[in-house]
Amino acid sequence: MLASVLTEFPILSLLLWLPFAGTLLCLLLRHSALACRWLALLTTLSVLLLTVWLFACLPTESGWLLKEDYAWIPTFGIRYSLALDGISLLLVCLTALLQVAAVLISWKQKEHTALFYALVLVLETGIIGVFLATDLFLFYLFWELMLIPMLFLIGVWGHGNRVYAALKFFFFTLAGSLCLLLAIISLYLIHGEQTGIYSFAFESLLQTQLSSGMEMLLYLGFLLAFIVKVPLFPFHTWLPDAHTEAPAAGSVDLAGLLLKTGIYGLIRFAFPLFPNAAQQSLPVLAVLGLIGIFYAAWIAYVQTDIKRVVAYSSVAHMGFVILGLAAWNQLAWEGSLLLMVNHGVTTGGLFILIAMLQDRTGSRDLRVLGGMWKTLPFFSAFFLLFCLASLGLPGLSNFAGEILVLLGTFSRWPLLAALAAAGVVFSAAYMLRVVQGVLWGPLGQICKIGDKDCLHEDLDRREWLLMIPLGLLVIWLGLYPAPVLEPMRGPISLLLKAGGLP
Amino acid sequence: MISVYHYLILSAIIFSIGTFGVLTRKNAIVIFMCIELMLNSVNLTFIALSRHLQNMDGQIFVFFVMAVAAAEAAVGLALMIAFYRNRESIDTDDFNMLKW
Amino acid sequence: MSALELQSLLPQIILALGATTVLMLGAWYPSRKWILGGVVIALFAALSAGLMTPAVPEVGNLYSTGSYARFFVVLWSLLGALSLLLSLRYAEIHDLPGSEYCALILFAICGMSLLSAATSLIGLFLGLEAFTLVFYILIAFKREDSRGAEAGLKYLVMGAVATGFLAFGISLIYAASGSFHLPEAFAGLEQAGGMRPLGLAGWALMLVAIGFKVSLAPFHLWTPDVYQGAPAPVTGLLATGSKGAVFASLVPLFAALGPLKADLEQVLWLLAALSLLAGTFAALPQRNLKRMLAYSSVVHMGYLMIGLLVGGSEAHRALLFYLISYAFATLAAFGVLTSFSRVDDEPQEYADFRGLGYLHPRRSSLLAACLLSLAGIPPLVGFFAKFGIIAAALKGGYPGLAVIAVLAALTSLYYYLAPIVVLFMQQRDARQLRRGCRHEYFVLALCFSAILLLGVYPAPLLDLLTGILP
Repeated sequence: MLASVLTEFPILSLLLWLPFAGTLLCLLLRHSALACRWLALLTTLSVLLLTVWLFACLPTESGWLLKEDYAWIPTFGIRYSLALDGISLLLVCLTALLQVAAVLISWKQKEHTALFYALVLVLETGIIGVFLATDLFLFYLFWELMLIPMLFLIGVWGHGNRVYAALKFFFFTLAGSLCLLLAIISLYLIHGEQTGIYSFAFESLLQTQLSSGMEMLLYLGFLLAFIVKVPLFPFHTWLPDAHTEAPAAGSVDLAGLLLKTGIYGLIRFAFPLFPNAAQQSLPVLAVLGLIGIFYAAWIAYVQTDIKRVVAYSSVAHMGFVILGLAAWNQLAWEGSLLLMVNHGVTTGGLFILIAMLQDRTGSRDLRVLGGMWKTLPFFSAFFLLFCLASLGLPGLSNFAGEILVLLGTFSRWPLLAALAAAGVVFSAAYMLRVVQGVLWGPLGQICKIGDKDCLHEDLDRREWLLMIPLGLLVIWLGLYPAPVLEPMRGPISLLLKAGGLP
Repeated sequence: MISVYHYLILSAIIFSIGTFGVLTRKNAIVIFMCIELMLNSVNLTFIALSRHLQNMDGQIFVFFVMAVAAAEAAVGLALMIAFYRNRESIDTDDFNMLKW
Repeated sequence: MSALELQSLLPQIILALGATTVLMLGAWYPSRKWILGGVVIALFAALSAGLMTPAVPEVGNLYSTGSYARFFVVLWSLLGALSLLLSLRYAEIHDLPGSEYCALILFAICGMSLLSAATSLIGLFLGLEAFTLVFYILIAFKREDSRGAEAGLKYLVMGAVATGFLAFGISLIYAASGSFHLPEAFAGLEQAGGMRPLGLAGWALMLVAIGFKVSLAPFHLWTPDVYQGAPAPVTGLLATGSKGAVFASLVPLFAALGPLKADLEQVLWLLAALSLLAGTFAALPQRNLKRMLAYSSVVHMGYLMIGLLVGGSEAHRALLFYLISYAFATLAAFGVLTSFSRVDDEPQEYADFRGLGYLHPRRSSLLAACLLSLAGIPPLVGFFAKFGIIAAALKGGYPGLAVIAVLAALTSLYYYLAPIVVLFMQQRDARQLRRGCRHEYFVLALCFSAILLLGVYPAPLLDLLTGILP
């Protein structure tokens, strides 16, 4: 029964286009903010339910679990082909979860509500599309489709310097994307000339014979697009601005999801398509990842805006992920992907909490804030939990990923692993600084004891509803990550084998 | 003996004079006269070539060029009058409401 | 000319006779309703071109009646009908004489249709002049507007010089080959021996003229001024139809050119690259939407030039697809400008658009969609068009041009996003509503669905283009 449903019903298309249908409905119902809000929540929730159901039902195999494939533009050999394996399943789950959170956190959004939710839902379609597409043209389409809603989310609903941040984000990622486009087209043409069949299908393009120089060139095109999105050390400058200026939902999506699309692109497309070039690039990637860890920690330590601190912490975490990928073994890759999921949850949670804090105090400045533990105990408890998870406290989510990455890296590059381990200490330093500045110490400058403004409401029902599942998830992923590791194991070993090296 | 080359060279010279005039003169009417010069040099070429190649196509083309030139002159003079009414000048230096 | 030939040229005859009739009757019964009549005539011409099977393949060694030519008759007639619909309210508020306006637009469509069908240099010259002459008048159609007169005069001077170059170029080709009919002309040119340089010089002069007409750099300087000074619906037709028709006529011309193309290759390469670069850099600092669109059109012409340069059926198909996508997006952009215009003003400066996005969300989003499509952002049609051109360039062995094209696309986002930022991301400034009318909304909806549907599912149009290419 179940198997027949899964094979015959285009469930991936449903997953992909459900949010888009929500977008259209939102635009139709644009005169009622309330309707849009509930519609967005309903849509994201149903996507979440669908993915959780898939997660529970699908067997843990190493190949594709679900596939869809239709002709689309035959003239150019472009097909509408989607496929799902363990890795994409996890990432789609993460997307669905964070998107619900993004809708809930912006519940009080007042300006242009309909447009806001419409964009959030389009963004969901784009991100899910990136995780599902196996036709390179289709992949590129979704890859670009993510940009426009994000541009508007930052540009319209962002904070002070929003237009600058939005454009900077847009240009950085687009510059990368266009390199990707050139590389994809070149690969497509080379493959077409060799075989006589012009196709963008990933499986066919894998068969392309490339000279080593050409392979390197094309790989660089792919790499540039993906590591700008990740972002890896020298290309990260768009990220702090975009994170800081974006509205809460935008920050959650950026940190939780958009960064993951970069990593996903690397492991799904860039590495398998160009295995030799990828092998040559690994040391560089590892070193850049390591530099990213330290550099971001250093910069994060001197920030006064909490959002900026968290933004730089993302750069550091992504440095870990890249380092793990560069180690190129099962253990490190499992760690990297786990860290990716964990980072999505913890950083997403942190951005949500920061948004709540800003709602209440109107500030994100460490110099101004302080003493929240006294006025907002429940909020503070959650804030502490997520900060500790983010700095990698054993037993909480990020730790599991980081330790796997370090172990995996140690077997290949002991020195780098040892240095990266020191990076964990740095992350503790800046996160604890945030904890201290926000939660403890005297009440902030804007607030004197007995002052009416200081008596903020603690978490309300909606916020409890949002934080409890996320909090539980953080603890669960830290204590028992096996259910998440299980579906990834097979695909990872396949990907590593396809790379053709130990 | 005057060959077809002489005609071609003559018309090339006239065409160049016309082009030079268009580029250097300031008065719109004079520019128009230079354009007529260019078109008429073309006519000269066609007539000479038509004779030289012994087919009538070239002469047909001459009639079309003449018709086009006449129409262009008519429209052009009307536009100049419209412009003159507004600006009391047909100097190209006064074509300055839309920045170049 | 036999009756069969007349029948084969029926669509163009419908347009020309219809225009004359409207002009004549309009003298007795002046009314703006004639514009609607013009729409009917244009649609009728499109229908006759689409459904009728021509009796002869070529009329008088001048115009082809093949499927390629008829496809463009349909396209230009539809574009003309759309821009006539767009002009209804515009003519009303600016008090433009309806029948003259309608007749001129119909003549312009007729000229474009003739140009796209030309198979001889005479046909080319006549078609080109037919609509250029009309545009001289249309650009300056608002009589009390001195900017219009200035724009018209500038276009006239440039256009007349280009005509001179074109005619002289044709005369040199004629001198070298002894024929106006394209196949013989090119065949003659190849065997011309000593006259060959003369023929090539003729080609160079023709390229200058074409460069003027379609505003390729370095012959593009008139473009922003004319765009800015002309009435918005006229600019829409000028930007799409007149440039498009020239390119439509160049495709068979270059297909017939054969090995001669090798001699022109470097010039074409230079024209394409220069247009891409010059247009991009000139568009960057613009703060006037019409001028920005003008410079960006120079960039688009550069893309089209790449398609022409690469040659072959695939590149030509990519070129035609690009042309169509560009035409719809540009027409819609000028349509939005038209529908935003009021009696006293026509918004052009970015400052006029501040915050308009939330006052008129549908039309502003449409404008944004057009700009994004022109910039080549998926899933809009512009992306697929750019993809086709870049793929053709890489395949044809022009990686340098492909890289320049990609860089131009990237930079183009800067100037395309600027109006979007003004529309949606700045404080609301505009308080007064800018109401349009339902004809305009209809046209805009049509263009929008074209931009979106062709972007998502281009396969049918691609098949059609493959079928009609000579």
